Amino acid sequence: MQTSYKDGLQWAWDATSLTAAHKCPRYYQYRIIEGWEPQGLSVHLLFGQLYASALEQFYKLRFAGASIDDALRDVVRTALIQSWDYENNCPVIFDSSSKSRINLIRTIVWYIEKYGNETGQNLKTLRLQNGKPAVELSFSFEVSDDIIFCGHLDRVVQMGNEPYIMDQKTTGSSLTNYYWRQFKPDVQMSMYSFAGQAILNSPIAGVIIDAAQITVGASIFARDVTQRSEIELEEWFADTMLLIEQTRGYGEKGHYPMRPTACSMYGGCPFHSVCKTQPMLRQTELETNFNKNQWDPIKRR
Amino acid sequence: MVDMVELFSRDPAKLTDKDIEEIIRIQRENRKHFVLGKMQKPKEKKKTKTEELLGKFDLSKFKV
Repeated sequence: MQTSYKDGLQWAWDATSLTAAHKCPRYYQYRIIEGWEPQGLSVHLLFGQLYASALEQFYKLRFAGASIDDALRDVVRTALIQSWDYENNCPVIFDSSSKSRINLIRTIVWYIEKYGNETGQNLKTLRLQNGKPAVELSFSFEVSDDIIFCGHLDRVVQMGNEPYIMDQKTTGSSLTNYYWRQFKPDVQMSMYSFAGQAILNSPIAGVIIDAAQITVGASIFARDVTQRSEIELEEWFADTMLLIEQTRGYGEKGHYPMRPTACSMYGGCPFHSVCKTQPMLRQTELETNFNKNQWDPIKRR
Repeated sequence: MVDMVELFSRDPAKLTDKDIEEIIRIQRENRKHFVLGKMQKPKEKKKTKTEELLGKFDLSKFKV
């Protein structure tokens, strides 16, 4: 089976692995190259995956002609089934007071109440050349002899005549200017703009970000657009190729250095407990408190 | 009337369309209350840390 790695070096790059390489070379080694992740699926990841999958299903059903009410009913049923533990015959435990199962359903219903009817917003899912909707679109394309970019776009929409990529986010943070500023500069949004342009053969007008703030008592939504000009994308591409070259260099030398300035960022690095341990005990720490789950960007969803 | 907790504790594969519609109806109602509540609540200006601290002192006692 083809994977994204050859001789310990990565050749297929997505936004997650680029972000990891930017964050810290040692983090990149543990999470991407060696495939370690903290034990127990993060509630944020689980909630985000189920929410994104529900909206993906909703937009596919709408594209196929279903009414909002019919699509919503199907989507809620699927989300309830996906969040049910059939082995133990009980709901999946989310282990969070805000990102709970009931609040997942609340967030789906409230989102669709707010944004589900797109007629007034002049938005519609882009129809691909094969007639299918541009929803959960996997992409991969060569950028050099031995590097490809790959990933998944939640949805491509048309606003008027212009194509936009749409991305869904869930967060516990307030949707203030401080929240929105994280998306420029940002690897994922630049990668989406770059990839959108490459796969649609036309410039992308921007990435529409639909953010949902999940609190115990309510789900609050806001929408914003982040844009990249041609020259900004050229700069991002040059920076990215340099980052890849540098990261592969660490791999060739067999040494991914730590970047201690990143240890406390992003809510604290999950590998902090490993890096603070004596070097000869790190492998034991990884094997005891982490699971192996190889990140493979080329794998299609 | 069936309550939410009861609906959420049932095997979802066995929920009827009516059950699902009831969940959606309740969530829509909750949203209406939330949106209405937000509209009716007068916006209070949040005090800055300095304003909060100054509020603790009787400034009239200080002579300039």
